[in-house]
Amino acid sequence: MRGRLPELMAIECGPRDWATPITENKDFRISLAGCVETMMGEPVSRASVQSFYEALASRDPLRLAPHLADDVEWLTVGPAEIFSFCGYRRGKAAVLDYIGRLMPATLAIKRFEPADIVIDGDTAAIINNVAAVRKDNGRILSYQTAIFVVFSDGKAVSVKGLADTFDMAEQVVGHRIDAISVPDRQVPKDVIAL
Amino acid sequence: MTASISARGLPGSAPDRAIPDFLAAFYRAYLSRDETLLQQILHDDVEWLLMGPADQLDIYGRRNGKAETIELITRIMPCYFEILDFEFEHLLVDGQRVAAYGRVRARQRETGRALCFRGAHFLRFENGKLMSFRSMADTFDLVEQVVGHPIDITKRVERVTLVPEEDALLIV
Repeated sequence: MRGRLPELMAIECGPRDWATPITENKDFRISLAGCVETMMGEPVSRASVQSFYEALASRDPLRLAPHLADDVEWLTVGPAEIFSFCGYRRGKAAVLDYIGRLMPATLAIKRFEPADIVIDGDTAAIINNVAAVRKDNGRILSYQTAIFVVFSDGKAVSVKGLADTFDMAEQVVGHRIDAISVPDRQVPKDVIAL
Repeated sequence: MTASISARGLPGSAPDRAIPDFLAAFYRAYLSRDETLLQQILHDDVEWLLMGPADQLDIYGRRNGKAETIELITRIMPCYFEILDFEFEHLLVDGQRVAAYGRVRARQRETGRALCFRGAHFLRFENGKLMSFRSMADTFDLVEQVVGHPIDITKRVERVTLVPEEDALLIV
């Protein structure tokens, strides 16, 4: 079922294994110096994560809108010169425009299913199996993404996504990209030597 | 060595939060590339996957088992770069399953150039041993940093024939 989290919902959280402070591992103790926000938010429920995920998988802005905070931040990491939808957006309107217009202009998402999920406190991390069709040439792309979603009051306030962008770029152009060779030197035509 | 892990601006983190022992042990072993520590923390059947162009940079791809994984961390990866720091923005622990997101800082061995890229780790432990490690990163950005020039996506990998096609194979 599209966007469902059947197996994930069956997973029970194991006992929290927060060890006693790692006195002998001081290098590894989390330092929160300079933190803007240091207090733990309200834990997000698995039901809220599932509702958000189903709405996101539907790619329907009207369905997704209730799950987004007004000042939601959304970062999609990747080469914007290849994937024009990559970048940072802030605010519900900008995010819904990204989901409802910008991304579909490039890729039609055909499958968006969870492969793994980790929930801790107010944050959920999900690996997704994605299948999409490139709009301009009909090529089918199959790739994985990871999203980290921070919730507040059951709504997403921060979403960060990334993927194996080199693999995605190869699927877009339809051939293996030679990364090693130095590109041919291109002299801009509008540069005039004085 | 100045390797360290840190967490900057962790949303949803208590100030006195410490990371679990098994997680600290893994990152200590990973960063220090200490084979003895890796032997202790890796499960015999560990599955290790760095998603990326494995045919062009052999740090990428799948490794199965402790021996292949240790070889990657201690011998192959140092040929390319030394990881200096994981700067986590998110560190989630759900029982023995872990997800981390942040920036990785490294120094390229050949040039001394600083590398910095975003990445995510998904880990699964069993009885304190790392059973599964999956890393996802903005590989287009990372590969550009590693090769030191912009990637021309129109350039194809040329097919290399190891045996001249006109030569008949000798069958003995």
